[in-house]
Amino acid sequence: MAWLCPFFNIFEKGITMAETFDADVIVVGSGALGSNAAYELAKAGKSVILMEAGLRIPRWKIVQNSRNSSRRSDYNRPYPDVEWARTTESDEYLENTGSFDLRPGMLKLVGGTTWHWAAATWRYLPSDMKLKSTYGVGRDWPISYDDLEPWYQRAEEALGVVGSDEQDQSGQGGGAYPPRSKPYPLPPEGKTYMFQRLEARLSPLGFNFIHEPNARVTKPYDGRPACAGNNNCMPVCPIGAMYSGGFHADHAEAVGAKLLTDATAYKLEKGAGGKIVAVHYRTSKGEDVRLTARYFIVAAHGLETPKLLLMSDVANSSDQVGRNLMDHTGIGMHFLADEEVWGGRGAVQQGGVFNRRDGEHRRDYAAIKHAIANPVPNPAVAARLIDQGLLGPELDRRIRDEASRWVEFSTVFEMLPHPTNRVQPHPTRRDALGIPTLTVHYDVDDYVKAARPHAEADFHTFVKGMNGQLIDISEGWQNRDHLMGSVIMGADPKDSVVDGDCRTHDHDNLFLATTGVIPASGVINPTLTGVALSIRIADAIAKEV
Amino acid sequence: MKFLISVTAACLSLVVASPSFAQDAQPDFTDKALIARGAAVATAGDCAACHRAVEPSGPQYVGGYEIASPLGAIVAPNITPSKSAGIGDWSFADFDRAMRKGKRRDGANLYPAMPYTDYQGVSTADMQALYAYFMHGVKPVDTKAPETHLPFPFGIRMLMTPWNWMFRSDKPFKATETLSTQAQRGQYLVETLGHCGSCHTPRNVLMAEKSGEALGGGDIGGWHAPNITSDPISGIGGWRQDELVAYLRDGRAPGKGVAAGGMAEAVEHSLQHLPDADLEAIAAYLKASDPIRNPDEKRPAFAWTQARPIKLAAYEPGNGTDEASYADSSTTDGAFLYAGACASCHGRDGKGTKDHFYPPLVGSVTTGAVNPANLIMTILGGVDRKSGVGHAFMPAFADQMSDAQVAAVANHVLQRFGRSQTSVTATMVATARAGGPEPLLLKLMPWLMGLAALALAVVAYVSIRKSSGRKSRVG
Amino acid sequence: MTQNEASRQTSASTPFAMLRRRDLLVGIGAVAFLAGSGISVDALLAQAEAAKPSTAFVHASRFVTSAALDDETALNRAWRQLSTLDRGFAQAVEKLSEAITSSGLKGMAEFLAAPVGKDEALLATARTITSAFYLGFTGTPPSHGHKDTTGFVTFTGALMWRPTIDATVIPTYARGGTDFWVQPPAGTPEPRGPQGIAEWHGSARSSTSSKRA
Repeated sequence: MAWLCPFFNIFEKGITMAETFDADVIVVGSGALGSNAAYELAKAGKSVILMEAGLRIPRWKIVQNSRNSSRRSDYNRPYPDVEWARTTESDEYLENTGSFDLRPGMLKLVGGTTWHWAAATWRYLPSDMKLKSTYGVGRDWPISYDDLEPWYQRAEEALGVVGSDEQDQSGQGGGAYPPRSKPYPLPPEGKTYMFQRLEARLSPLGFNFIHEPNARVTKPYDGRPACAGNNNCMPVCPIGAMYSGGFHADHAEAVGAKLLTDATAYKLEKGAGGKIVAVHYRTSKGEDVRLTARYFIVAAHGLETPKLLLMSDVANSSDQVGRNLMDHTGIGMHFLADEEVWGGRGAVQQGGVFNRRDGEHRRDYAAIKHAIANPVPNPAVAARLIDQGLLGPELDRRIRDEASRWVEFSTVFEMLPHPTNRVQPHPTRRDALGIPTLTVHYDVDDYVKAARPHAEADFHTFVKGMNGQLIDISEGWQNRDHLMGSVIMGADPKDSVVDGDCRTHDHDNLFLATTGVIPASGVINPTLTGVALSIRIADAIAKEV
Repeated sequence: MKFLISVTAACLSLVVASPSFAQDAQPDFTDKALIARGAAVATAGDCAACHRAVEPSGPQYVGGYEIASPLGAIVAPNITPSKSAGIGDWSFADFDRAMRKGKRRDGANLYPAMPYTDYQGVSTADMQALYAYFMHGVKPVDTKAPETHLPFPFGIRMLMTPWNWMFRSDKPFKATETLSTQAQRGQYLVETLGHCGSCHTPRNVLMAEKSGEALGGGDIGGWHAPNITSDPISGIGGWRQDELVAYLRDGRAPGKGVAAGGMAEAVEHSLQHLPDADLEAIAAYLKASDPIRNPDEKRPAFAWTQARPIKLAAYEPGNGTDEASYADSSTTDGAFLYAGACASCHGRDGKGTKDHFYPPLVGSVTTGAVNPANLIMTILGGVDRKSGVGHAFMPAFADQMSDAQVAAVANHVLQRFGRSQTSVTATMVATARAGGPEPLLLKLMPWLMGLAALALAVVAYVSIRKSSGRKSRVG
Repeated sequence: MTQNEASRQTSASTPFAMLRRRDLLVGIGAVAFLAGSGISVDALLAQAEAAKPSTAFVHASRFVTSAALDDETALNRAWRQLSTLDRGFAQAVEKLSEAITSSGLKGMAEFLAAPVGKDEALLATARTITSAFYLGFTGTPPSHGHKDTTGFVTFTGALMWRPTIDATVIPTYARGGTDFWVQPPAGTPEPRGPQGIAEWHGSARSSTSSKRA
């Protein structure tokens, strides 16, 4: 009777004999989140297709694009912005209708936008994830810090995160926090001289200087060399010391995942029983392809993921898809210290002042993170001095003097989720593939606006503490490219898109691997949390498929 | 006296089959000092390089690691004292026979990936210490390493019997009398435990070290283990003693070059741990060794110290105007590839960094060699070497460049920073990717298999004749 | 063959850097002759000359920046872009170059101190040149988008790196091994006030001083 066994197996799985799938799992998007999920699933023996709208480009080519650009300050510019895979580089990619011009740096190529980030890999605080119950504002996550902790650890190991095991990352000056089950995979990089000087003079004023855990390895790790301070994290790490999703796209392929480039997903197809049965993609040549799988993970960026769901009329019974959009809208400040601090040695950032990351003030105004930026300051310094009319030997002297004393703070605020801040497929505009482009409505909320004076007061204290000369505090608000909330996570299917496992409430075989699920933004760069959630998704699917 | 001991050792090794005799001469293998000495001998012999776990973090000497040989992967066995999976049941005689004659305890032949032709000369004292260490200093691990399965006909271990007749000698190690005591010690380390010749001596058609060309340079797995004889042009004659010692200990010698591939492993696992006196001895011996000259070489490989500058515009042509050009990585412009892939660390001028964290490409044996194998392999596979001066690491570019691109960037490096007469073709890169040129042995296999069969038949005939003759005498 | 085609062919078949003025004149003259119609050689010449930096531009640029500027490609790129962005640029450069020559001054410091160095028009030209070679690009970069008037001149050769090359890096290029940044650059004055600490743990109020190197 052995010949009957296959029939029984099929019968038990509740599928018909005729049904075959192109893969166990299809992952839409080869960024850090999608690639990590794809890798974990392929490693677990599942057949995986990893789809990418853009192309694969070797690092050396991007490095050369970066050097040979006449627009070095535009981090998107070294990457292609081809008409069939537009990015935020193009005006026509998205239209803003709100008071703020939301235009996050984002990329379409294998590895995604982590090609240009500064690799900050913070964990959320327990209180970040219980914002509503702790401070009475915003939303709670449906899962707790403890629930996520093991996956934070795995994400840190995947990315090669370096960090201090001894600091209170909440910025409150206490012991090591948040709690960790294991030490950081790698020790922190050396403290830059600039950081030492700012800390030495400003911490006596009560400011807590915190190392930023990051994914620039301090020792060779997973085929990557140690960071040597080439100071080009954005727009591209020239040596691959800094993590980018491309590493795990490669790893996923090495363990059997199939990578498809030039494949822009434009439709998720619904089937019986609330299942998603297929994804449709279009190539640059206009070919349409339908792929089927048992499970789907959409990991297509915080703006593109809700667009794909809305275009497909999927997962939106709550009407929350695309809403609650949050960025860590920010401001910046430059000043000249009274002593040589020599910014620009080491990576482009390595920590900052965290006193307002947490605390009772969050009942009234947003949490604040002051990060110290550390790019080689010459481009900014020289442009400013030439504008001022300096020429000749005096220009050189002033460049040296000001570059040695230049300090830049980059500050972010915690946004709250508002259904009116939203991303949608554009009602009329279509891209070269005939797919709707994006429209965004984004207003900075009062919670953030109320925090700004506190941040600016800190700025003035910093400048005074360094006996410095203020250059500028930015006007208006700045993009920080941290997209959250757009497919918001929650316990209640009526007001959220995914559950605590990132599974859509409406379709039990559809998961969303994007920072767009994050329901409470805190002030920390959300990528590590996104990767942790993605690995958690992979574990959940691996048990079911 | 030394000679006498050696002769005695040789006699011992000839009669190890007689257990009672061997045991009489044996020390207390549980002696702590002996075990500690054995650990040092194991380090000098670099046993861990091959007999390691698949995972770098795995237990010591557990085996399982696949040694890439041109004839197929050879799996290093478990040599922990586990009775079920390792060599826990082995007597000293078993151990000694394996080490010197390449015979397993069950009598089967080892493959000469195990350098028993070199270990043959290890002193009895060292061998006993080594045995003590493996029996009592190493933690037993009961994980059996998989069997080696070489493709036919190499899977027939019997084939090694005639090979051993041809290439294995029972001659004990004998230092060259004219050498200094220091150099004699170096000679012992180089020729026996260090088994330097297994890479640095060219191999003949049957993959045995060519006896007349000791340390004259050999090809292994796509790499070229260079000539390390005392010749000032082709060998290490132009290296100062302290440079050789630094290279062996640190894996780098400023102005000379850095260790990659198998040499990086030898430094990491073995050489850096040797006492300075032994490194000095090795260097002294190499500097006193018989010189071998490659007539094609007119200048030492490290002596290409002048970078030939190129206009900055070659590195910075400016970006194209159409978006597709940002994704187009098809170029075979060596300067462009160098700028994107190499210059971030090695500099536009090929000088590396002042602190030697990134080595220079000028004045380097890798870029100044007649044979570009190591340059190609370094670009393809990178460098990974831990030593007392840090963890040197270069990422692999095999997945980021085509064969033609690797050739182009290698030629740029050779023309600008190294020996410009050396050149690289895409075909050479493809061969290197495949693990180096196919040995003649494989190419000749159809004929050799015929020969081998013939040889086996002769062997079988002779041994039957011999044994029947003996029988008749006994009978 | 039309005028435009002729000039395009001239510039396409020979790299700008290889062209000499005489060759151009001969070549263009020949084309004009062959075309056999009333071609304005002056116009053609102006067009072709725009591709190759004027002597005045090279002279003025070297004087203003006090740099050798021996990268022909960068000079060509800067010239082409600046004269495209501003039709009056070539003339302004001639004026600057003449002013420099006739002043007989040795360097930019002297020039700026002299009365001629107060001429706002000359200074504006000097700033344009300075900006191109110091920042390594021409034009005003937009934050995003494809509408772009910027032009690449040089990255590694940008003069803005020069004053700090002993202390920081030209981004993308290495300076030394991991953690070199813990120490200040050689020659940094000992700071007054609280001493910093290199370790991540512990208090910034600690008296441990960072080492010098």
